[in-house]
Amino acid sequence: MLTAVDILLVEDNPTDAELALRALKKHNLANQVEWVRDGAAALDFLFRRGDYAVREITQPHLVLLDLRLPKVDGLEVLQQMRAYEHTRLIPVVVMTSSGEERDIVASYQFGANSFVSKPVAFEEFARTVAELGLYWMLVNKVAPAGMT
Amino acid sequence: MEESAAQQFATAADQGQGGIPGERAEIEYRTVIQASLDGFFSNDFSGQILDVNEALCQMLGYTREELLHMSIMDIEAAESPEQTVLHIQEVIRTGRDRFQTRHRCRDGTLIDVEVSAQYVPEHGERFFAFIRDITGRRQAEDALRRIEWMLTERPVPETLNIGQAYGDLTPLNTSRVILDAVGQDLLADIVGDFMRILETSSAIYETNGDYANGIFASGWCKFMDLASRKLCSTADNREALSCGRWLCHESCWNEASLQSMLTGSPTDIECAGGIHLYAVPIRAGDEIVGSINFGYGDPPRDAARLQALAAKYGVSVEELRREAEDYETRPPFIIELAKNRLHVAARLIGEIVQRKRVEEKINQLNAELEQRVFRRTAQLQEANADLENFSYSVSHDLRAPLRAIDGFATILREDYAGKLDAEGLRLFQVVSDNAQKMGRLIDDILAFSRAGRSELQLITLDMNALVQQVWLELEHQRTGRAIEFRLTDLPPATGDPAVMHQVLENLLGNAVKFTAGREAALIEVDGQRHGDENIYSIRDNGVGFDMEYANKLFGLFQRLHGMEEFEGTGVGLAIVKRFVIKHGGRVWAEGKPGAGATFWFTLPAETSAE
Repeated sequence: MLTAVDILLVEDNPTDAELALRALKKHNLANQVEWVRDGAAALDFLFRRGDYAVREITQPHLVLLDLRLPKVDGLEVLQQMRAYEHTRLIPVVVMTSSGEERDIVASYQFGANSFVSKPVAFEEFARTVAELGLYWMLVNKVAPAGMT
Repeated sequence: MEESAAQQFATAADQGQGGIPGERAEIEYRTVIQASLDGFFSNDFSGQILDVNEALCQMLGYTREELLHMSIMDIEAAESPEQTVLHIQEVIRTGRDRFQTRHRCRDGTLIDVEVSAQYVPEHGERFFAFIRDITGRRQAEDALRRIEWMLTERPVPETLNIGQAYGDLTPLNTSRVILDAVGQDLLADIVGDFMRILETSSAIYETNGDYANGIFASGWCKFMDLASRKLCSTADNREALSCGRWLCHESCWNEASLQSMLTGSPTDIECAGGIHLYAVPIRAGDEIVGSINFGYGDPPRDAARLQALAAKYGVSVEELRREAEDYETRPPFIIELAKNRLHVAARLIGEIVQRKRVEEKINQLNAELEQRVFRRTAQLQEANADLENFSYSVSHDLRAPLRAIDGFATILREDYAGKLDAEGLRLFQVVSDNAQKMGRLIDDILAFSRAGRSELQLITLDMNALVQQVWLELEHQRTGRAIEFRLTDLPPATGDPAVMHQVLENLLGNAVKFTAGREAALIEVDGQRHGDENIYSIRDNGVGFDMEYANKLFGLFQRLHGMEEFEGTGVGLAIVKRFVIKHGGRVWAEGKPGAGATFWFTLPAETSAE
């Protein structure tokens, strides 16, 4: 819990989480992934509360966020992140099974950096996750304010 | 029976004892009364007739013998016996009296008479009276008054003096059928139409006798009505209306208007207040919904009737006489004209009530219809919301397990490749393929469901540009294929660009797909305007289809070709049909196995764009 985290994976479906972690691992991006299973845990992690009160102070470089989550849903997590200075500039990629327009619109309205519909085909899914990880971790320059 | 003086004279004369003063007086007396053009009678204090002349017999139609057995009460037609007794006493007290009254003739006709009575105590207990028939004079006077009325130039009163001291009765109206349908202002205007001519009084009643309107335009009617209102001895109008002592109201409602409603025809009566009332029922359709009436005719002018009215209404004769003299006599044709107008007024009011009822019925039906539409819309919206939630769940929840099936089958193939033989690997491949196919199926179902729900954004569409764009986008499906694409000049249409893009993509995509085996594939797009609509066609020389199955072509999940032959979920043409119908268009197809297919669809032409 004391090591710095690069990617926060917020995903309630363990199968999807396993597939995502496998795809990231293939590209050596899984070393510092923190996986939380609901929106409340995601907020605890980001705001260093509860189980995460004593974690490393550095914020993740990327949040992979599912929308339909137990306790606090993904859009609420996104809204709260964008409302606070310490989390405002962390890149968030919304990943969801649905390609519903209302989800896409709401995600961008609340400040998502990217919206990705999870494909059914695993290979496509693995490629998508890997490309996202690579892009946001390696290519994209993180805003200085994203660090505390 | 005591012999009268005249009889004594007569007896003396018959005995031929002429020359004495009494005899001469008797001859003179008889000569005078027989020579008189006026009728003559003498009577005793009880009213018993003692003597008559020939003129009276002529006037009344009785014989002398008949009259000598009668009392003056028998011929008096205007006074009650009590009043006659009073009259007799008056003559005894003052010695003489001149008055006007009415006598009843033998055949029942009434004649106006002027009576001049004389009493000389020296001649015993009897009167002498000359009776002058003034019926002709009366008629002449009336005629003169009518002529005067016609000759007198007078401004038509702009507003009628309608109020009464006891206030307005219309607020007591609990029925309000006529009052609410026609309204107070219009009722006043309608009544004013004939009231300005007659200047008497008028009332409009609901079926229960409540007042929709009440006007008192003449001094006479106003005076009589107010006098009888006072007889009720109450400040409460409601109480007064039901007490039975409001004589003018009783005549107006019970005797005139109620009768007209009960009989369904005009009612013409003499009213309690000394004039006449004419009432007409008001009909809305077949139903009688009220009655309208007016007062007409001259107030009485003779003393006897005035006295009787004064007694009945508890007012002074003098006041009554003044009011009666103030009223200007209307000629009969004016009264007939007013009666006609009353009929028109009744029809007008009835028609308005009827129209109001129809209007209310329509409004009620409209309200019910709106309510029904509202309920149906709410149900539809609910159903739509359910559907939306359903498709949201489908898109989200069904895809995740599919991804797991495909994902873990792939992991097995990758991580356990060494432990599986070729058949094992193939079987896991089949699992993956089917999971992916189901994924596409779900995507297509959702697309189809969205096609029904989305709102169209109609603009003028450049169909040439749209077809060319779609054709370019199909490039990767055409890779490695040599397809001849012919596009004639298409007329612009009215439609939703995104939706029509999807329609063309599906149709052109099919054409590309089903010409796959052709060496010289040909796809032609054509369009013609026909009146208000455009007909577009997409023709290919592909595998075609059997017309026997043409009706299945646009059904959801209907496929005419095997999966191994051509890929697809059977949703594309169902979406095409849904979108075209949403535009108000039609879609159909023709084909022949091995000889290609043509798909037609219509869209509203450009001019109908708003």
